[in-house]
Amino acid sequence: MSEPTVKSGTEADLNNDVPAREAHAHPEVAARSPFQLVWTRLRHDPTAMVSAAVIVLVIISALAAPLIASWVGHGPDDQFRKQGLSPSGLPTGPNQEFLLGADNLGRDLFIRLIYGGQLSLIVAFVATVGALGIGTLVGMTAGFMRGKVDTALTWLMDTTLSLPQLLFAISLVSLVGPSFGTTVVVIILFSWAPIARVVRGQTLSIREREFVEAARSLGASNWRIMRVDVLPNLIVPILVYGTLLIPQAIVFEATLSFLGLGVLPPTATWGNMLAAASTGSMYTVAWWMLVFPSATLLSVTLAFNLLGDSVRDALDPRQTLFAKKRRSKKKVLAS
Amino acid sequence: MIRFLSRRILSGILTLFAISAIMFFLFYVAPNDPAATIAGPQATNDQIDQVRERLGLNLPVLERYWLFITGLFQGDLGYSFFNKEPVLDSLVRRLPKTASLALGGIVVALALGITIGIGAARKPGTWRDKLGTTFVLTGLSVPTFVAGLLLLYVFFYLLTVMGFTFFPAAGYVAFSENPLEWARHLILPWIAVGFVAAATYARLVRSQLVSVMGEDYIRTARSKGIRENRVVYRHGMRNVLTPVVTQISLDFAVLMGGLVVTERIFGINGIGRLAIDSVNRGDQPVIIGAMLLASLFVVIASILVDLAYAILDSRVRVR
Amino acid sequence: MLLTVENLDVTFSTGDGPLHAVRGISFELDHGQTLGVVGESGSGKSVSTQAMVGLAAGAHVTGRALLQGRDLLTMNPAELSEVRGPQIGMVFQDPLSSLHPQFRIGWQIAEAIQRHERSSAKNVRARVIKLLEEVGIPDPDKRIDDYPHQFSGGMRQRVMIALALALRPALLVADEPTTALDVTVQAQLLELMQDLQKKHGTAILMITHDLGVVAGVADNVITIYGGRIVERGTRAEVLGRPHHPYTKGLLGSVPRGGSQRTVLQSIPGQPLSILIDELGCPFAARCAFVQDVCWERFPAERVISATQKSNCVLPADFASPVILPVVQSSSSEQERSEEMLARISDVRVEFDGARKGLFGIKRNKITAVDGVSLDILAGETLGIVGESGSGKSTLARALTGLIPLSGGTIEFEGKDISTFTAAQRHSLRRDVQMVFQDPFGSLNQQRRVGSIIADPLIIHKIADGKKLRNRVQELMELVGLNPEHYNRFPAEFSGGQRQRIGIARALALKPKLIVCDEPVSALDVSIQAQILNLLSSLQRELGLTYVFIAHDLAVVEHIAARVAVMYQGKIVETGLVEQIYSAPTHEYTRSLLAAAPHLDDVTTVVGATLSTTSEEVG
Repeated sequence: MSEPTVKSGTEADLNNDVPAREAHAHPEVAARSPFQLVWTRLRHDPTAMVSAAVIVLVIISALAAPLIASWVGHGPDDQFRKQGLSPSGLPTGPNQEFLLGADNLGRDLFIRLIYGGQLSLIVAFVATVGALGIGTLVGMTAGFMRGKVDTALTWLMDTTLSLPQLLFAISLVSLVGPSFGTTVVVIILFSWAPIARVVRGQTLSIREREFVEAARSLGASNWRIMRVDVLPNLIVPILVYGTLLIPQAIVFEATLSFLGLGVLPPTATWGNMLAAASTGSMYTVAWWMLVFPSATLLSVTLAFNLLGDSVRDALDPRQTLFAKKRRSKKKVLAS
Repeated sequence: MIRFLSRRILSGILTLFAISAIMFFLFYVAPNDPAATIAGPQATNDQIDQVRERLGLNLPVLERYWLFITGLFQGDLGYSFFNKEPVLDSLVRRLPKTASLALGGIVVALALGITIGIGAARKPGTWRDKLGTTFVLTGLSVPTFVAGLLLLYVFFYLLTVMGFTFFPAAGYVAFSENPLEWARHLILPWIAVGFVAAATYARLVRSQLVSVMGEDYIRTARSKGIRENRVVYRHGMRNVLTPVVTQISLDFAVLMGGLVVTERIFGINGIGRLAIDSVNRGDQPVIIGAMLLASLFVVIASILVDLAYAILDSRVRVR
Repeated sequence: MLLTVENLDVTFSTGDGPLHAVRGISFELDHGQTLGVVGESGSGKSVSTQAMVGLAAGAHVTGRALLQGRDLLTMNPAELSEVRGPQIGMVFQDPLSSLHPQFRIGWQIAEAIQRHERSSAKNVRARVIKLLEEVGIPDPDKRIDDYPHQFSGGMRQRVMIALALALRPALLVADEPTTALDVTVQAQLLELMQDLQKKHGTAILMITHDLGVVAGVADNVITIYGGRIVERGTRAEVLGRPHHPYTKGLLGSVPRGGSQRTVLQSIPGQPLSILIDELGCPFAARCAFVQDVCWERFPAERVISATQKSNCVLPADFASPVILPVVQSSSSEQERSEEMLARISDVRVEFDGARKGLFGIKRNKITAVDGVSLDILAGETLGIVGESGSGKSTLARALTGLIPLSGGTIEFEGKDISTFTAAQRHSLRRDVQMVFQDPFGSLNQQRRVGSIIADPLIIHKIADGKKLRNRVQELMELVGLNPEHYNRFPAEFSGGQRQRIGIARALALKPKLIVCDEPVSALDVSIQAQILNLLSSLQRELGLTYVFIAHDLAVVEHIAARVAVMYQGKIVETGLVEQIYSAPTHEYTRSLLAAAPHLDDVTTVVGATLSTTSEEVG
């Protein structure tokens, strides 16, 4: 196809130049915003819906954690050494009292799991929002201003990206001491750079587009162009990146906790629950301590990743269908 | 080409300088006092002061930084606070372990990722593609430590329970000592590192190959009657190589971090393990040394990659 | 007969439903002949041939396509790949993207030969060098080892032709082979193809949207619309005495020599969306002669002559030359004004080029505009023509203040704008506006059309609230858009309509000067005519001054009164259109004019009087 012979449904003709023949004209496509279109596509995507359901379920159970805990009668940090541990001190497996079994201190694994979810999600959301904000700001400024500002900011991004992340993170944590705040800050510190990079790249290409030139020729200020013309066109990559960043943040938090450098025990997190399972190879005698937290962690991150993928497909259906770029018939390069 | 390289090397050196400065001053402003830690909880103030003097911590910060930097140029990273061994020595001693793990991990990641990526890209939208996508997303979703733990559980514990022991739970055997044992000990760690990293490559290869296969020059190759396999592997993959190579350098920093976890789980006493232990002990020179070494690798990797990029791309190479 | 296509039908399945791209087309092509396939974007002209040789991925193809007696459509992929190369060679639109950027051109040609023939590497190399020589590559024995990026656009297309003809196929499919090239290069390439055709007896299937190309090279012509062939015949018949209203419309839409005082016959409406499966004639919605029966079924073939057939219900004697109506009222004559609106003196624009020095901190300078001086008179249309790389777009941007000048001055209404304060510069925007080339790229896809058109009014704080909306709707009406559509998104409009949106935006501030940078070059011919007519009528109504930049000589001749020819950053010649087009003084202008394809030879009775003064706008 030498020309854009394929048009998506939104580009159906309107024929408003021949109103007399409107009756015979093609049915008009209702004026739907891009957002509505995306929503419609998402609703018809089973993967997206299942993933969303999983995420909603986890959010609800995290929110309802105190309620469930009081209903079951087990607090997250309560140790039930009698019921939860065998006489030889080994944790009991899943049973009626402990739905998913007990851990090495006789605590209810299920209750700890939903409390851990609470923490993981909050950390992930806060860190993601922070990283997106900083990344967008830096990336947009670098891409839009170009020149020396760009050189400096790009160097900052590259330097951040070439830090051995986890190594640097653990040394940082060792300095300020592990806590909720530290965890969030560390995740943001290592997540903003890739976003800034993507946003910068996009901004660089957007600012070369004719509509930005058009805005300039109208006399629009830089600030207005950034706000009205650049930012709306960044929403798609930011949104896609955002959904993909949440699972990364969850993984990051879990890894820090696993190393004992995230949120500290006894507060439950998925990471330190798995750390407990691996300490002294506990999982060999209590598989549930490994399997349930792993499975929960995995299904949540997988759900976010699947949803992110679906959102990307829905935002840009052409990417999957036709990889071909649109070309003008006679593209006269800026002469 | 030379101009390009000189620019890259210059910026690499700048980056390393920045990292060393960041690390050094971060530790300087840090609230905890290494001298107090080293002297022990029962130490008197005098004893702490003695320790401080012995370690040179009583000097003004800029002077300490100057000594540190001049030392760097002589390949001197200082001495460990704990066992007084030169930092460089203890790093170098552990390097083969970490390098074995990292290189093997990259090989696994590339082999797995590229195979799956090509498979998925050749028939976009089919079950093969869906399977590939599932693999990719699982890989992106699973933390290295979870992958490692599950691998140990299944391939070490469950197999052992069934009376079949092949994979060791932990440890490292030097390649020079016994190459087979070396590989046997590293297989599970390689898979743990490689599986997680493979996802990125599979996704990259798939999306790049799908888009390259829509390019006009692929149509030209087909219009010449070139067989489809050759079109994919010769004409298509030729242009996927460059982004893959670029990704390797981006991944390197992440991978170095991943080793910390893997080494811990599989009981390999490499640089990552050393770093964690030093963090727990407050052994600053070792932490800084490990960081710098890792950063050096990242910077070198990225320069090599840029070089490879220039060699791979005729438009850069031939002007 | 070399190629016989019967009832070829191509369907794609897409996320939005089946896409019936080609609907049962049949045609024949004999050895050594050239068949011109003419159609606009989305007509299915490219898809049909690609589907035929198995290059349209995901296509469901039915019908028959006999190449020397063997049906291509029943072949499996392996058999088809044996045919591609030795029997069918292909040349595509964009020579830059059609050659693999990472392989040497000689290697790419040799690969084709070695795929189909056993031959030693040395022999193949010698053959490739001969091929390159044949297509006019200088120093073929050296250039054989160069990469595509080391060649110019025209040279790359020559390489593509060498590649396509390497195995001496009987059929060459040329899919818009010259569309991406400048006119002078286009003329050379068409000549080359004709020479090679004579030498080797190759049949050419020439797919193009450009009637000028067809007029130059085709023996027979078919017109495709909405996936169907609507008319066929010899070149003289189809271009000289077209029968189908669509063919007539296309011919009437093309600006050409001498049509300056005519109104182009634009085809109303927008090109068909191929997603919608029509039962009747695909052209019915845009046809001025539509009858009820047209909506019900696709008309049967009407025999006009032994060779000319047309799928239209109109009687055979409807076939006639295309006559362009002349605008008689004096208002169309651009009044010769002596009032100066803007004066460009010795303007230079430089860009940063490649890095130099060890660390690449210094850069080379590239001069895009090199000492240009021009006067722009109030109320006139000044055309600037030039090929790609001539600096004409840069000049346009310098004129609108988008790019800073490296030297020289621009005076607007007698004042030097380089001395302006920021506030003065800001208000200058009101007087000088721009219309851009790309109807897709020049509108922000994320914003509603109303807000795009309102932009200038908001920025300059001219209107708000209800007044703003009224003004926006007024503007939409002025450019022929339905004002009710103000809250739609650009994606819901076709290319021509988007260009109208761009024009409405440029008009919002009631500017004195509008700089149009290739405003119609991305549009189909029939839409191009609508926009040109719109620009002309707006000029008459609003007393605008245009600087009209284009590569297409005929378009400039049609719309401009004065023209400046630009070449390598300099203006080589300025003057009245009649003067320059009939008696060019500069060497470059002469070669440019000689290279431009001419429809006139075969067609048109221009200027015959239809006593109409109707100013058809879109």
